[in-house]
Amino acid sequence: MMKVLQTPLFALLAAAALVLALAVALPAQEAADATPEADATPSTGAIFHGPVLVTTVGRADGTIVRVLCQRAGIDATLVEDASPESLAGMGTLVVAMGGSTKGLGAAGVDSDAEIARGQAILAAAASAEIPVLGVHVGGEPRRGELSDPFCQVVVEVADALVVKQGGNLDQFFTRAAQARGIPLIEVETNGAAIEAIDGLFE
Amino acid sequence: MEPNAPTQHPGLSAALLAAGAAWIAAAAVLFGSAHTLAPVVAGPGVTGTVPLSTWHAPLAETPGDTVVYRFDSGQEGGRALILFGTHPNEPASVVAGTVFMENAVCRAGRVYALAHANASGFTHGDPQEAYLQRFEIERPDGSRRWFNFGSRYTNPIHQWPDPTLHVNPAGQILAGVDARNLNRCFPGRPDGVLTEQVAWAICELVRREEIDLVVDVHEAAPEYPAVNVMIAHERAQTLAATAQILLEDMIPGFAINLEQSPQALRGLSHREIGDHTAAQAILLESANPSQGRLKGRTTETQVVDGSDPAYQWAYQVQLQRTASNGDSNERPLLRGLPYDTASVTYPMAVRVARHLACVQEFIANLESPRGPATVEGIPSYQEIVEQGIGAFLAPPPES
Repeated sequence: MMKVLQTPLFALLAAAALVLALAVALPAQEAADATPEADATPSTGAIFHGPVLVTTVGRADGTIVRVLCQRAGIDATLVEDASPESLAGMGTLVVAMGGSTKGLGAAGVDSDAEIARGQAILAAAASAEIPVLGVHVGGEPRRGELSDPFCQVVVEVADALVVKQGGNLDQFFTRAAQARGIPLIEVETNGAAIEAIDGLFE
Repeated sequence: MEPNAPTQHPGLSAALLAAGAAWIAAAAVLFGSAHTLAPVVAGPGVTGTVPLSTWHAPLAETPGDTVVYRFDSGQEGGRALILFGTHPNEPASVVAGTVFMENAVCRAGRVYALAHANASGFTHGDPQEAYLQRFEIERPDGSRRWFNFGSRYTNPIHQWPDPTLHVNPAGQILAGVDARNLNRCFPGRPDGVLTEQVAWAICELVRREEIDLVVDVHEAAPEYPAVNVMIAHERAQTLAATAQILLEDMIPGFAINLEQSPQALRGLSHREIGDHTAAQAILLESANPSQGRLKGRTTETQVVDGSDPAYQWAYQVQLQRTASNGDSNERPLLRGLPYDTASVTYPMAVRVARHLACVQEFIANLESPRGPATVEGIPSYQEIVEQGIGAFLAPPPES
């Protein structure tokens, strides 16, 4: 018996069995660790490239997101009311999420029409295989009854999300990212948002 | 003497008449004192004061004329106009303006500032609001500075009557009372009613002095959706966004949203000054409980400390309702939070600190063909919050 255990063939088979066992067991362990509280950012490598069209769904924070992109060294153009035609020549669509308290009703923009516009440009981006980055920088005031329908439209199709602290207290964006298996980067400061955006671009 | 004849008490009658006359005289003095504007001490950076009528002569010697403070560095650079007191029932604005006048020093470019943009509005209160006539802020040495608590509107004694509907200079039809609302009268009319002439004079100042940036400092009810915001004309969006990004990272816990000036909402400074002058126009809002519809009795504590039992009660009701609904997605009704969520207060020190931090950052990031503008001496957000407003107010002029 001891002789059998000492043979090279047995050692080879044992090693193969060990590798096989680890290959099966480790993914199972990772799956067990994926609680709702776990980080929803499995991969945050460079998945976008310029030039970038920045628009909003909800008419809020477009300029802030455009400035954040530019500070990250990205060639970004803001078109507040972008249409599918605005995507011509663009490498990435970056969408600022959230409803404006001044840019909708007070500006004569209907919420349903704004959602329809957002869905149209997101669909056009998908057709043209232009990746979509959703960005939420407005914190708590850009969530709720006014903003959430706009955010929902974006998280359903975005390829990654960058969300500033305060906007994800209820884990809305975490759940959305986990459900679709897309990266979510939650940041505390605008400086961190610039770094996060920078890291997502080639 | 007839049995039912009234008893004669000539001494008592005379005393009652005298007391009544004294009461009326005291009330008249008190009422009349509302027409005295609180002093603003010209600080080390003020290089001159001129009346607003300098830019629109018909305004001279009218209740709409007001003092314009000039901060001239003597160096070429960007030019800014800061409007404080456009709505005199938004007290953090005039207090921030007073701190600005008494501390700011311009090192490059030139700054103009108005502490009482609608001077007439500071001479009365809004009917049925039971506003204070004035409030005080204590300095570290125990001395006190007083400020007028005014109305959203020009005094009807100075502009009367209101039209049934007000067609403002931009052509939008508003309620008649808005003919006396300075921030619905831009860009003004040179031959219009008093408030429109004030707005016209401000726009003339902007045009003739080639102002690059106008900041209009306001407050709003805590339950109003657009509080803790900056509202910027489209040409001012990049400046406002840059300031917002920097402010939120520089000041721990500081949060402010940027809104765009609606093109369909006319008569407001951020829209009309942006459209009718070359300046970039931005309006600031902070949360003011004394202006809210949920407020209790207006007291100095409510105005200065920002504490109001009615708002605290409303916040508790909101928490209970959220808990009973089990709806974790329900958003706060009181948008001014969190200044101090635990006690539901909106301290004026925080409101003033927010406004001045924004003004400082706008000026610091202003890009003008003439070069940068630099203003020093404005106390920082942390200094005002930690040391109080009184630490940055000059001694009362009368002492």
